[in-house]
Amino acid sequence: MAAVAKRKTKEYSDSELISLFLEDQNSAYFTLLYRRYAGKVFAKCISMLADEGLARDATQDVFIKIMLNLGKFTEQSSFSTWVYSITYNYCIDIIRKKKKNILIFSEDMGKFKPEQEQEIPDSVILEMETNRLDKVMDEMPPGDKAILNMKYIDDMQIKEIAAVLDKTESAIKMQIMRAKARAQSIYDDMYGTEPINS
Amino acid sequence: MNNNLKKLQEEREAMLPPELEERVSSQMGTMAFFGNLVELYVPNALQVVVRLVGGEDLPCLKKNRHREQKPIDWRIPPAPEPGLNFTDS
Repeated sequence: MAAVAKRKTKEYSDSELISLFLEDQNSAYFTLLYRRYAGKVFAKCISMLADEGLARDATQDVFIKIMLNLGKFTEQSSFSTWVYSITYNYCIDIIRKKKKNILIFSEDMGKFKPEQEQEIPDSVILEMETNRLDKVMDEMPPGDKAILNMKYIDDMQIKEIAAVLDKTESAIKMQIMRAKARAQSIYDDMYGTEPINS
Repeated sequence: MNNNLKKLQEEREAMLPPELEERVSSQMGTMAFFGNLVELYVPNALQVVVRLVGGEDLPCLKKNRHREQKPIDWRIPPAPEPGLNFTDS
């Protein structure tokens, strides 16, 4: 930790901390990475799993996974994207194990068809009143939730989302469109025609 | 444009339990300990098993082996060097 203390912790980039950790195996460097990302990982786990206890365990497991695989991080994407992709995939795996027959994406649910294939503006989702948005997101299929989080919270590119979920870019574009339509339809079922930001 | 999804995320970030850091670092410590244990002792333990069944030394441990050196027997005097003569007469 002494070496870390010489420089302000904020001055270290993620890549520097990773190389230092891999060189020295000094857990102080990994602790700095943990402090940088733990809040975000935990928030994603709560959003995906909708259970604080499960989210706590998942956050712990995700960080152990990150530590064990740090040597495989190739810097083809940013470290944050890599961390978030591990988090989303881990949460989707947990949901799959918990509920064997669950459908992950809207498109897997044959009965759901967006009324019109016209794109819903982003503002319809992003400006929804927070409590309502929270409830709407809880009703979304986990894959759709992950896609909307990646796009609107993590500001990930379509290409990056496609890489994380191992799908094509056009499939991701379609899924974003459907996820937005699904969110709108859930909102309408819950709150009728009340304006989104009342 | 507001982004209420980001607001929700920020609210949840604040809910991170502080004791989680302790849990993660103690698990990391345990894993490092077992990693070192495996690295230090597994090759030697394997070597013992290999010897017990009559096999040869593992290549990774051959360098460190000193057993093949002939032990010195201090009861036998060293051979006299040529040119020196210590007779009693």
